[in-house]
Amino acid sequence: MKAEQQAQRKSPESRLLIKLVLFPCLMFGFGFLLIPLYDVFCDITGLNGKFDLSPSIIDTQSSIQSDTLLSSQQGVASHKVILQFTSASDQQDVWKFQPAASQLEVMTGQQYKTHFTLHNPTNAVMEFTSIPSISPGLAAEYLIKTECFCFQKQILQAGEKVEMPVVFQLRNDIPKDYKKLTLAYRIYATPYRSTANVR
Amino acid sequence: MTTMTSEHSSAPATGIRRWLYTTNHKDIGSMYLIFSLVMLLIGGSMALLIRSELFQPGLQLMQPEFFNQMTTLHGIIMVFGAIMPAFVGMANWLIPMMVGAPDMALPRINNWSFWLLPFAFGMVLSTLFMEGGAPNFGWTFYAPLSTTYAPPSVTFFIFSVHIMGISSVMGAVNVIATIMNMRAPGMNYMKMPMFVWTWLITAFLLLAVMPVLAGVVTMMLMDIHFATSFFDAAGGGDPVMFQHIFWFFGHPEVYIMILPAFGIVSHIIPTFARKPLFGYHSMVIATSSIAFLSFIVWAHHMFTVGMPLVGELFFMYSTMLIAVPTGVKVFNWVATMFRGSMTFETPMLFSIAFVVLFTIGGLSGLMLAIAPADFQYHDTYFVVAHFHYVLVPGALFSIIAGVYFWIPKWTGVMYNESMGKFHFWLSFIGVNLTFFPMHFIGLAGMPRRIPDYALQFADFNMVASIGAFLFGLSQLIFVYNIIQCIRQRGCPASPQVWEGAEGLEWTVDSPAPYHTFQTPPNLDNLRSPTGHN
Repeated sequence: MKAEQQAQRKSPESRLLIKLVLFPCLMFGFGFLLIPLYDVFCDITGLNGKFDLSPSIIDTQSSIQSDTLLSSQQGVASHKVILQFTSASDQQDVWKFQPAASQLEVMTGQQYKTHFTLHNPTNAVMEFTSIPSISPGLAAEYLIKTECFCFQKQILQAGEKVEMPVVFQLRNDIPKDYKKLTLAYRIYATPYRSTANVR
Repeated sequence: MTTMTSEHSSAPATGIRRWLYTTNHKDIGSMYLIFSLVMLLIGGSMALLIRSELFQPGLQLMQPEFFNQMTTLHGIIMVFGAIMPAFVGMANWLIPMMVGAPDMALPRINNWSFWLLPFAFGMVLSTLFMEGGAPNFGWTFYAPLSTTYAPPSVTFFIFSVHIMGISSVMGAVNVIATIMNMRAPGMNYMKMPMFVWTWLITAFLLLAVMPVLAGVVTMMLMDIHFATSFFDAAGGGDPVMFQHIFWFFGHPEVYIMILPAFGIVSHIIPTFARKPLFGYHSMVIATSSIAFLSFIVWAHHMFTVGMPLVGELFFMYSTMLIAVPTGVKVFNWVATMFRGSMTFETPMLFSIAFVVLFTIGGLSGLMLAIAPADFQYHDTYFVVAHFHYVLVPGALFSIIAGVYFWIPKWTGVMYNESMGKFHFWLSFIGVNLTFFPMHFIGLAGMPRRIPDYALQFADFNMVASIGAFLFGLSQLIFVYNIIQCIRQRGCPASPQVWEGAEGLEWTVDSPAPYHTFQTPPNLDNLRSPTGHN
């Protein structure tokens, strides 16, 4: 009887305590949840200059047709945009990575092909990941890449030099404010191969 | 008074065991306060090393690597070691007495959350003697500086942040449990003293964001040791993500360091103005709004990372919105003083300085909130000036004011008033001499976190360094005054201590008996903080 009363008296406090302990645990999880949340947020809004890393499966002909259709509706014709290519690197990079052309004059709605060269001067096999980025970031959604070396990892034999193609087009409905875009690639050797001995 | 013998031991144990095993809120409060004083002196010495190096342009005393370690440790120790434990110490001492409870709700957890801290900070300080040196990436430890390019000691840093986080969360759980369950009969929420209110809200902030901090350092740990890529672009991660998660913790954290200060000042100003606090209800609402807004403004710390315009605008306006509840508070303090019969004892002097100087810090915060202007101010000494104005004459002055205000209650002895006043004026002049010139050199473009600088900044830096030594050394007067009180040198204090003091803690003897309110107090004769019965 007495113990029962005590248990009844205690229960709101212990319930509060359980809540107070659970809440920080949930917030700890929330910290990790922020990462997928931000990814989704950037995907939806196209922020951060990130774009889809999977190839766009569009038949060139039909896409151009649909674009012209779009442009005739909106009265937006194909226009000229300058697209610059850069490859960021830092002093520790042993490999050589460069765009074949530093910039191209591009007509929107048409497909172009260019390439980047990558040279592995070491005498070991290296594996590379490349991360593309567009600035201004909000223009990322207008660049459609049908083929890109950034879609998969590149494995280079010792001393090997490769030309890696990028096939892309700019959508016709890109706002005319974007006169010059920059497509930048940063290349990384994947950790477990080359930086294993550095760490 | 407390000669009752119950099944609980009523007298403290003797020797070191008293401090190791104690579950008494007053003992634990004292340990927190002394710990934070020690940390203040250690972190302050690091600040003086930084200021000596910056006394003149060029490298005189230390290498840039060591300078970076000093700025990092100074920040970590002051934030997590000095300001936060000082507020927890005051919460321990005062919340049970203010709400009429015999102790904190969870006394053993209370003991544990204190005793974690010396180990956490022992670990942080031990990194100074490690190969590769102490952490050198700034107190904000942005990745990849704190992951790819960090010294090996970063792992110790991560674990000590974990321990500090656990300690803070347990402290917060304790405060909430005490306030929600142990108020004396008749003390409803809108009759609670302001310090209790501000601490309740602070505790919720702590519960919400300390785990996020623990999460972000865990991600760092995994990036460093377990080959994940949370913040490493090479593996598909994102370094900017670190800043988002860090500041999601970091912005509420700055309010964790200032809300209890608001509470303390809201006790001291009414006491020495001999008027009830003006606008008690609006104070409570303003504090809650500030706490809520603190969760939606974090990206104003990172306007320059390349956010879209919409983001910049959102964070700019939401940040500026915080000025409204803060303005309400400042208005209320001024209105409390208006037509009061004021006297200017040391706690009041520090509190008035708090109101004036914190407002200056708040205004420079408004300047920084303007996104387009922030591109100029970002990472300059203007930022340093801003956050030191809100943390030193803000948070720290309120702690000093609170110590002078309540130390007669804690020790039973009046501190030396003329020494207190002398301490105040030296601190006041020192603080302004140190941090005001930083506004100018910041606007002129001096970047923060550098050991050497261009010649045109030399004069103001020299002034700031002189001010820093004046401020730092004048704290020794404070330490001496405290020691004298602990050693019982001075006039005995009456229970009420101050003529205008109101609240339950002033109804018990001075010094407060080891056990207070073992039977709940009668609140009939107590004036509520609103001034009505």
